[in-house]
Amino acid sequence: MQIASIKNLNINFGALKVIHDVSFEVAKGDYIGLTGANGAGKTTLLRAILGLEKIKSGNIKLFGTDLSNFSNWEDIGYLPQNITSFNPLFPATAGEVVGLGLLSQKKFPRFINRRDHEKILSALQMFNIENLKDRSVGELSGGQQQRVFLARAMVSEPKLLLLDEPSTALDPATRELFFETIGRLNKEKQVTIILVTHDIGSVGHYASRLLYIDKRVIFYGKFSDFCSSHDMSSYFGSSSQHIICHQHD
Amino acid sequence: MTIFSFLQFAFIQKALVAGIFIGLLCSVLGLFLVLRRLSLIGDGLSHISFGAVALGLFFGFYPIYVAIPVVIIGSLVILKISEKAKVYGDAAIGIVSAFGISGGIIMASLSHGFNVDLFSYLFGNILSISTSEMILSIVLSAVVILVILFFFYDLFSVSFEEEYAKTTGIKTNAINTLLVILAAVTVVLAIRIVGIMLVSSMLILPATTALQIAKSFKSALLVSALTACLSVIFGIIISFLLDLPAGATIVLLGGLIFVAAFAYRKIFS
Repeated sequence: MQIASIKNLNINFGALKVIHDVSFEVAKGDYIGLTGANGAGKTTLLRAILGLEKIKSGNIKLFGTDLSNFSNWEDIGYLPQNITSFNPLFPATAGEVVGLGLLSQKKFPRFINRRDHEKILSALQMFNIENLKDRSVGELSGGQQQRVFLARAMVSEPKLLLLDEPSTALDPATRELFFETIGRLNKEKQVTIILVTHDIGSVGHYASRLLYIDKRVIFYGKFSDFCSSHDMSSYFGSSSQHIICHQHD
Repeated sequence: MTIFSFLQFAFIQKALVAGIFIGLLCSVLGLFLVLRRLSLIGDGLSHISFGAVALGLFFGFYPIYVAIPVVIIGSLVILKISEKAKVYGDAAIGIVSAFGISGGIIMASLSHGFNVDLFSYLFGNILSISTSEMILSIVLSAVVILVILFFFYDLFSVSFEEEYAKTTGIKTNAINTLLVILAAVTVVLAIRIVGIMLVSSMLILPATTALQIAKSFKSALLVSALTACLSVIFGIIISFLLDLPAGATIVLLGGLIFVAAFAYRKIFS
């Protein structure tokens, strides 16, 4: 089953081309590590899939529906890159913030009911932060906030998870718990994942496919194919390719 | 005669009923505006309402009926300028409010005869509210509060993180438009209580007081509503007993409650 299809996507910021003729497809159960250098367009591409960027040309389909007509947002979970963009003085508890992730499942008028509170608690438990449910989110540490926002992304039990630098601000133990949790969701529940990361060396540890971009697609395929690719050897230089693939081993 | 005997006066009863409704409305809407960093929209819209009230007086219409559509249009213009004209929200408010104030001053100067009426709108006088004005305030306040309740989680989500709200299917542009329209209606209603000069404080003070002590969004709404009600009730009573202007007394009381909440937070947290 096709989850996402991106065809000949072009995005400009003024005169600057930030995404150039990008095409790729995402199938159910894929776990894609989206990587590239700073300014390569990783976050812009992810935001475009969510309809948050103005597209110059090209086409994006989610679950077979053109993005402009897509309405099943409950099938998508999203963790933004900059979680500190919210107002730290905002008087919202961790539980209330996680509850916002359930609004995609609701029709107007949207209300959070008693059953939703059970879902919120389960999402918090997924990251061992159920004890933070009634704490104001602005008072939490960066790592705790990151876990709250991850719980918000997961609470609607989405079929497609879009995660932008999810392990930033996580301590090593939580980072391990996080990758274990989403790895399990991917394997057991066939949740499709697109994960933006700078860390090309370790992306192969968890992702089944690698999407390397530099405004355009440089490589899209299995990590093992990346390591044996002569094209990638010429692009990165054989020593860099060897280092990346060695980290993976 | 007891200390509560003043409650038998019809004008006090009308002032309390209308004041509580409008105070509740200001406190709930004000929380969303403050959290969206749109606190000053109340100030800008009150300046537009100055022009609209002057327009109504100039042509001999009931000023509030003129002010409601004019201020709604003004609020939409602020929104459009900040979205389309590469102008930040505060500058957009400044541009539109300048039109309101200057228009109002020209109308007042052309008419020569309604400066006393205009004065009453500038500083408000809830104690002189008529029965029809009270009914209008209750009906409009109830409608706006109901709209807020129906869109509560949409407003909450957009106020917390607008882009994320968009990814959950919330029509954020429509919610932003709704918020400024509700703010316009609220500002016009609140003019009768505290006047054009102090109307933004009715939106800001209860909300900022709540932010000092509330840990959750629901508790912030409760504290904000409670603060507004206390300010209005005791403001009206004190102003009557001490023969002070009601609007200024209500706002001053709101300011004192804010200071108390601020001190409480500093001492106990």
